[in-house]
Amino acid sequence: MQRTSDPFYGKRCVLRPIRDEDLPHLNEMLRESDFATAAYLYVRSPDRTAETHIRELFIHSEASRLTLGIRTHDDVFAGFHDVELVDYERHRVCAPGLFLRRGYRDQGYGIDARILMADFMFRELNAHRLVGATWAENARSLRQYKKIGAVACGRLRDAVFFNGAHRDLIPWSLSSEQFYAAAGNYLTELRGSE
Amino acid sequence: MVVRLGTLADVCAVLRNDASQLANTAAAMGLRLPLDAASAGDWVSDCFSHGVLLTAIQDDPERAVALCKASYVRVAWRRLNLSMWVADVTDGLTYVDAFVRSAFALTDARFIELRLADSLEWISGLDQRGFSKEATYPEFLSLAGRRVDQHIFALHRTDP
Repeated sequence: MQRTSDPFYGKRCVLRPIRDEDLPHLNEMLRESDFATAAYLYVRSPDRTAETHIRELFIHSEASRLTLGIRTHDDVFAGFHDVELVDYERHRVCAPGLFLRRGYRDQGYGIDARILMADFMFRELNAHRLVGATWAENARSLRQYKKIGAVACGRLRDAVFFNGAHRDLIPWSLSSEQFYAAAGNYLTELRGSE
Repeated sequence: MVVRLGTLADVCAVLRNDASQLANTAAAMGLRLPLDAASAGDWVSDCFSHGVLLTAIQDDPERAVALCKASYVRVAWRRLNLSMWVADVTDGLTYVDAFVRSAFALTDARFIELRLADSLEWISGLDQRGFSKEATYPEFLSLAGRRVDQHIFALHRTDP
């Protein structure tokens, strides 16, 4: 496979570090009810969606977290994709998470961003596995993980609580072999188009 | 066997006396325990200040056979994550039993989650203690140079 000069340039979007000008969009996202539900990992209380907190989360984030903005080819901020490195020096396992603004969903940005990030993690950071857990009702997310080759590996009953109810999580796991078997053609097309 | 709910001083004493032995087996379980007294003290203080349950389990007053830690993943979720450091890596089941009872009695957790490496022989006995294996992350851990699955077990308060 030919190496690309920009590993974060996809068919539909580009992954870039979060910029100051993105912060108002992030703040707006964190206040959207569906995102607040989705982002249970981020938002511990509504009053923490202040700009300083957003800045801490997305610009000055800790070394164990890689956060990139998802931008359209027209350079519009469409969401973000992050990866938490889980005890990476020992296990080389990481957990990705992705959130899109309203109006940018179901248009191919999510799957594009997931493929770019997973390819980067396997190819450049030598990840052994990508893992995660998605709540069982999140059909969009589960569909995208399946598309990139991830395999569900159980069901955690009542593992999280939001919107008034305990909900199940579906844990999933993705190896390099599974990923390139599922996304190899996409990447070949992408690299070939450069 | 004595199950003592640790005060800060108790747990620090256990770590001073038995940290090396517990930490040696921690690696086999995919866990870490601070080894030196200074960082152990900080670790324990941090646990206590964040509402984490720490319990020393001793087979006599002088020797700890396990250190158990339970913390809420998120209080609103009422889900406790249990970590254990045991002196004898071939045994852990007895301590799970003892600690789970304390954890349920002291909190309003709906369930207790236990993440363990597949390499531990005694985990096959967890189902007899009411735990169900809810997920397996394949090759999640790297232990002693080989890839090992990580299982997620759960015991719900309402489970028989």
